[in-house]
Amino acid sequence: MHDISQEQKPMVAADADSGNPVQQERRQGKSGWEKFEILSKPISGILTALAIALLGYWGQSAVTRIAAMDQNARLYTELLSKREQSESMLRKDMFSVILTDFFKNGMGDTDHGIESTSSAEISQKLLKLEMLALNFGDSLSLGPLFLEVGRDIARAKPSAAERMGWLVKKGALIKRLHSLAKRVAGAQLASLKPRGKPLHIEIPFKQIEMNETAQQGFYTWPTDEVALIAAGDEELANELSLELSRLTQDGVTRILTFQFSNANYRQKTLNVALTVETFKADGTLDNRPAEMKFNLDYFNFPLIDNTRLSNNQRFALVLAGFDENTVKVEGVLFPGEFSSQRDKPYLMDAIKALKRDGMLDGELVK
Amino acid sequence: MGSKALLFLGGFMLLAGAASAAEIYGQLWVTPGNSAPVGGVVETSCGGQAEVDRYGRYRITGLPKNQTCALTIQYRNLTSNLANVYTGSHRNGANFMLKFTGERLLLIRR
Repeated sequence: MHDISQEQKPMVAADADSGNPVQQERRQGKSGWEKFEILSKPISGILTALAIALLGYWGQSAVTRIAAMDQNARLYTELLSKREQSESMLRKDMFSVILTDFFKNGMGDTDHGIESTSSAEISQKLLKLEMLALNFGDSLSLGPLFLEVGRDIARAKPSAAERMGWLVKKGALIKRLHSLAKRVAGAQLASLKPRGKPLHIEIPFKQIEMNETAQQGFYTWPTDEVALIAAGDEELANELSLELSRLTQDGVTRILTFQFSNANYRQKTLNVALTVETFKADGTLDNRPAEMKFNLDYFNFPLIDNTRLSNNQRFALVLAGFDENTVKVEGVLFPGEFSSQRDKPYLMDAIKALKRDGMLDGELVK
Repeated sequence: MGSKALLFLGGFMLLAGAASAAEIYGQLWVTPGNSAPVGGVVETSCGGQAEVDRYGRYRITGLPKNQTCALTIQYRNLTSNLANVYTGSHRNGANFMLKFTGERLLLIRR
């Protein structure tokens, strides 16, 4: 019986002793790779699993987040639309109730008798007008209603109980009507001014006061204002005249000239003739100026009562003050986008605006 | 007693005067650029003057009511043309645009 282990041992030792250093290094290197291979297999497995887990987690959380955002947006839209709906319903109800009441109990109704209208009745009507003007002033043309209430106040005659101090009461009602109109027009003007180009004109009342004679006075702006402040200096007068009347909005320059006449102190009205000339792209003036003639009073509301100009722009004039010395008029040139909701731009203007904003592709524009 | 009554009357008159006084206020900007004419001095023919602040605002108080006051501005050694402002109410807003044209300073109401 041979003991194999004892016989082989010296041979292995002899191999190890006889091997050169390069072989030994190779053997050591191979064992390193082997170690690396052994270690890398579980590590790569763990890393892959971790990556898949992380990817799954991130993916899931991203999907959840997007879904939550989507749900929030939907909820928000739904809430907004519901709120809008309920507000519209409320406004609709309110509008129909007030307007129906306004016309049903109208003081213009002869059955009720204008002859003896109490100040309380007019006050009630004024209250309804206040509700309408403050809630629907931006989208409704309320000028005719204001005029009608003004006429009602003027025509009203006191009952026997109210005869004492009637003129004072009447004056207070007219003042209330005017201050309501000024409040609505002022609020609209204040919202338009930052979006447009404002204009301020002060007219000496005596120059345009309505009188019985055939010699009716006129105040031409800017000519008459310039004549006052630049008398004797023609060069200054020309420069001022141009600068005062020139308004530029969204790259479109216009020259606005006015003629005021027939100022009625009692009714607080005056006549206006407005001319708007527009500069063309080549710097020349368009030979077809826009011309308008209208009656200006406190019941002109800029969002509604404005002059439509080319390039979807509007010009509105407001009576800002009227006393025995001066009539103050304020104007604003503004983009049509800020006009009232009922004011729709012309189709060509809408297409131009879309082209300007680059929202139409070439084919549709062509 | 008499001096007290006189003092009261004087105080009352002062208060009444202040209540009936008017003011002109507003904003000024230089075009082109819309910069504020800082350091400019606004003056009125009705008396009173005010310096334009760094935002272009000015305010002149203690003016007579229901008067047309001619307003000018002195800025960068130039005096602008006149601009009339009527003091019809207690507070009277008047905004102006300033423009240099050659050797002139134009004051344009806006």
